[in-house]
Amino acid sequence: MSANLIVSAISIVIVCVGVIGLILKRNLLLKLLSLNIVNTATILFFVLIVYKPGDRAPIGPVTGVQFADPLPQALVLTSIVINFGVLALSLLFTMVLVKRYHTLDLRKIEGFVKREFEEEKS
Amino acid sequence: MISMGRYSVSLKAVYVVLVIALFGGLTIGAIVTGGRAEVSRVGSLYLEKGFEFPNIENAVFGVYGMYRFYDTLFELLIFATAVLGITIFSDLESSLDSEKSGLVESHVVSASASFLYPAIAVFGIYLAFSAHQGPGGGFAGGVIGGTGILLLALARGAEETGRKFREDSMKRVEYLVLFIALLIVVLGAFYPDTIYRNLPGISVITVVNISIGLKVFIGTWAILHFFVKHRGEV
Amino acid sequence: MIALLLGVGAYLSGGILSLLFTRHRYRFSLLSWVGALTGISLAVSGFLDSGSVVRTLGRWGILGIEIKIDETTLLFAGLVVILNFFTLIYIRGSKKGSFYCLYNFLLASTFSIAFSHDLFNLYVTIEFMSLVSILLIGYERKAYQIYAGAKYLIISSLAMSLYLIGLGFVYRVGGNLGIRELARSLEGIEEFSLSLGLGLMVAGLAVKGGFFFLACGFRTPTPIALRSFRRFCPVWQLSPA
Repeated sequence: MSANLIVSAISIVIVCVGVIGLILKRNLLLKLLSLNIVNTATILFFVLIVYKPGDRAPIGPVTGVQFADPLPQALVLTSIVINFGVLALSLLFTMVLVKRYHTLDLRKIEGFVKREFEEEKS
Repeated sequence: MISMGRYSVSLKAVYVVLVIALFGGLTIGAIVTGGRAEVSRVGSLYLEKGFEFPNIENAVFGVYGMYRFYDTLFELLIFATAVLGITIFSDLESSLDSEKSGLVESHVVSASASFLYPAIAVFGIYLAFSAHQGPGGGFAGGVIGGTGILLLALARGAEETGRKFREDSMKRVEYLVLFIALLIVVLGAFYPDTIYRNLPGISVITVVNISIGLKVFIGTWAILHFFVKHRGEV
Repeated sequence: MIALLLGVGAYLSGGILSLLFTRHRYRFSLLSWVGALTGISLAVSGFLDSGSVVRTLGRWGILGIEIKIDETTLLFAGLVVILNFFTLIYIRGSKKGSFYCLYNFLLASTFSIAFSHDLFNLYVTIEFMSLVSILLIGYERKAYQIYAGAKYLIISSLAMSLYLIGLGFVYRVGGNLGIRELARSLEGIEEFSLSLGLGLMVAGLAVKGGFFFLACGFRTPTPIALRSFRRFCPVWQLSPA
């Protein structure tokens, strides 16, 4: 089994670890960190899944050389920028919530938010 | 709660771990046993056709700068929306008094930033300009330039650096870049070959590189500046 | 192709211009509606002439991004334009410039999703649409709106990562990203990784659409986001679930 398949399998393990962290952790910042881990491991998986052993970087019009597939690399560039934007906005929202309620615990924030929502509805 | 000795774990956590382990096992099984069909993949076509253009030696630039530039336009728009979101919230009161901030900027940081910053900026500009000839690209160049300015801001004070890079003109440049990208998408949809080969006097490849680099640089600086201003508040 | 570019270009330029010149923001939004209406009437007339077609943006052939003009796509795009018209009548210039910018970006992304026939283009435009709608949800900056925005942002980002993993499997087997070419190259292939990949893509889109089997610990119900959305766009009179 070639090395890229082993590392792809490891990247799926990292995705699973990140998803477990995202679901089970109560601290908002740790949730964001786990989300970042999931996104980065997904990108790693996407690049490795189409790699053939012996590929070179697709630079230079050289003939007779086995080049790597350029399409996943371009898609992954887009994905990295999207994840950066999502992370910045989620951090901004976390900051606004923490300034308001002075806690990072999600259960407590949920309680406050629910109470405020009920008050405004009535 | 399930408890074994000193450790206790809730039942929900066990369920979650089991379900995700099942997902992980299935996926790893699919990776290991899956094969590839013997179809001519589109990637090899990108390599062939991309190298036919006169200046382009980086096939990945061909993919995101020429053939799939519509996706790049939307990616720049996502970045612009993130920056717009930050600017909408930019009138949050900062509880950080800049005179008595908890972080003391030491002289080492200040002195080294002064002579490191030009090298970082030149490297970022070089990466942005040479996207079509080697690894790099506007994204990497813009991020490097943005973090170089962040280093300068941490050394000399975020407010002073923020005053030097005026927000209004940077915002106008950012949206001008979006218009240029939209124009290139529309032109590239109707005259794909000619505009990337040889237009008299202007090279669309350079315009694409510079616009992506500028956009990412301004956006990165805006986001990082906001978070440096409000540091210590989470 | 002209229809898509005209519609998306009109909405995007209307949005950016209403942010830069805030005095004429309502007029720019009206002009972008007119541009999108022109685009979709051109698409409808082209469709009536030649039936449903699959084109490539930029005439690059197999190397470009596929778009499809079909009854379904024209229906959705027409719906976007009609709802835009009624919402503009209701708003009538009462919001700030950045609201109009976000609103036009949302319309541009939904217009683009309607015509898209390429798997990765779908990913990028869906992410754009969700980011813009989350900013609109949290626009008035009340605490429950920000909380709903953060919840949707985290869950939808996880969902699109699942979609991307599935896309990796499908690309590995199929070799193409456009749906028509992919269907041609996947005829008669039966593989576990292909089924898993397609299943993961569907799961990602299901979580995106509200089927929250991965609730990530956020437990308050959906009406919070729907309520703030209803305030802005009462045409979408959705009853709280």
